[in-house]
Amino acid sequence: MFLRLRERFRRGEEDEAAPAESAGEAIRMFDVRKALASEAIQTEEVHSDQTLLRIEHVSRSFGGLRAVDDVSLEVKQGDRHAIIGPNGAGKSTLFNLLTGQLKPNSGKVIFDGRDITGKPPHVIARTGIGRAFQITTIFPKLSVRQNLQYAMLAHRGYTVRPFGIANRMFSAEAQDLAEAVGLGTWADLPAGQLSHGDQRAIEIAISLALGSKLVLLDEPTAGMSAYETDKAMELVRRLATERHLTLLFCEHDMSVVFSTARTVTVMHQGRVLTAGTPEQIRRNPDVQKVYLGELEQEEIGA
Amino acid sequence: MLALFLFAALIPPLAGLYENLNPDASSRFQIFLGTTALVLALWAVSYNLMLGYTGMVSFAHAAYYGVGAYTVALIFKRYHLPILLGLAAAPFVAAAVGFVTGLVAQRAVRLYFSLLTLAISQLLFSLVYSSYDFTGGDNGIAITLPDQLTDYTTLYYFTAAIVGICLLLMFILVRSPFGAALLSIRENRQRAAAIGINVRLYELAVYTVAALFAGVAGGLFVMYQQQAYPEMLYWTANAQPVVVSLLGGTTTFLGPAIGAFIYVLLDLEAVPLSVRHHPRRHRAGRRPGRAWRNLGRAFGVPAPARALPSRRGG
Repeated sequence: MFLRLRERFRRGEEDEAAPAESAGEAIRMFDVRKALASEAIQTEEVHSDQTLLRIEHVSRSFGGLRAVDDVSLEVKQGDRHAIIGPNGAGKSTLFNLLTGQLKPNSGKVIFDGRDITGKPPHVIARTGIGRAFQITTIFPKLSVRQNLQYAMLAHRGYTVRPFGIANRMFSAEAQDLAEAVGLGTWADLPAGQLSHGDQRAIEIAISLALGSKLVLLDEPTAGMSAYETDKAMELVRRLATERHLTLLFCEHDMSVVFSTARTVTVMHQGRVLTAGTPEQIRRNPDVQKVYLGELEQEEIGA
Repeated sequence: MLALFLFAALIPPLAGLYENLNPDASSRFQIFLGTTALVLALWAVSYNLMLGYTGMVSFAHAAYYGVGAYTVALIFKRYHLPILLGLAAAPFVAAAVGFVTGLVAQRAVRLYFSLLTLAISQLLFSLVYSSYDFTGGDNGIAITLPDQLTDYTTLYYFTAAIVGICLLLMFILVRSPFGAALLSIRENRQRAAAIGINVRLYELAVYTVAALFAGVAGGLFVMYQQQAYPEMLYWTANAQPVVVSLLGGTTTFLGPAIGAFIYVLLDLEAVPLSVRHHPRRHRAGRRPGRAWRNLGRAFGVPAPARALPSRRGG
């Protein structure tokens, strides 16, 4: 378990040292600095100082376990914010608190100037938070296009209508969106028949169909091959840039975190350990201790 | 869909033709069976709004069917109002009861929802069964039809018209964006909520709509059976829409309607095959010969061939 984490952590470091390894960042093969500089410009374009999501002292416990303990963090408009931390750090619980699957015991969640603390999931979805779940959550027997169409219908509040033909509404828009995420050819297939990576893409496309300002990705590359991971994250980065999305994601794959995130928050045992740029996080001794220090204890114990 | 309507419309003339060809047959009986199948079709299609389209397994659908039936019967018997007024009121009374009980059932999901509906159906049954002064208890309520509707063929077309309108309304409903919301709830509740659908509210809505159409079916049942009785609400009665829906297929809109016709035929032909229904079971013991012969008759095997499998020569 920790061996794998360490490996991933190191892989992340190597990636930064030799970025040419990743197919998605081939441009860096020629001039790393130049590529980084261009990204910085891009960052400035999208990134603003406006806070989109603010979490204030949120806590949630299950019995005696404080899964999320006094967590505060801010996500800026246009940011790509990663939450990392070992298993059981409270990342998924935090996500569930944000999207209404769970209600916090205390604290506040403010999104886009509105207090969404403890609101039910469908209300939060309407305010503009889209989510891709850790376990792929789509409509498996409906076609890819229907998946997107129905999201558009629900988002616009059309689902109260007991007349009209749902499958003819937003058909072209859904097709366009399917093409944007590279699934145009498969738009008529049942979503459940597609590959795992493509199903994740549908999930992201559903968030886009909802016009979400903030997209939460809970381990977007879990269960993907290295090739699929590169492809998926390239898609995520492209969509985020094109559509000015704000991303909040948690991820175990450090290469993904360091290639995509602009801000990283580290969680450990329900608390925020530290937050900063990827570079700061990598150099932080506390973070190294969380990921690597425990490993030594584990080895001693074994 | 058109084919089924055409088939339904042709039942009485076909039955008449059959009677002319075969003096033993009764066209009235065939038409009666046709009416039964139509009412069952409406009941099962309304049940499938929940089972097939929303993924809810309710065990209380028979209760709303019964509520519809008792609405018609009570309005006629107790308040002496025209029977058609009762038929018009039946869906709304059933929907109102469905809405209130649905609020209770909605407090749980999946299996627990099913168990709550089971309790609700038994509650409604005992209410009808025990309030003897009002509902007549286990005697039920008998009604008499107005003169215009006493003819079997007229009643058949009357029923067919109402069933047709109801099926059309439900067909529009399942194709609409509302139906899309139902499908997405069936497919994945979590995702449905995450795209902004208030899952509980939509489930309550479809529960009420299903109860409404079950009320129509119950009202029509009273029309052609000319009685309402408490067993209609008993929880075992709910097996009918479930079986019929599954028989015809829950994934298509008309599946349950076709299932209803198959069910009525099977009910007629296959029930006598059961050992427990053998008229001479107690005197002669099990006689497989009779059962084989009936099975053969059901599938149209000629008489000499039917006699063969019998050990005692029939």
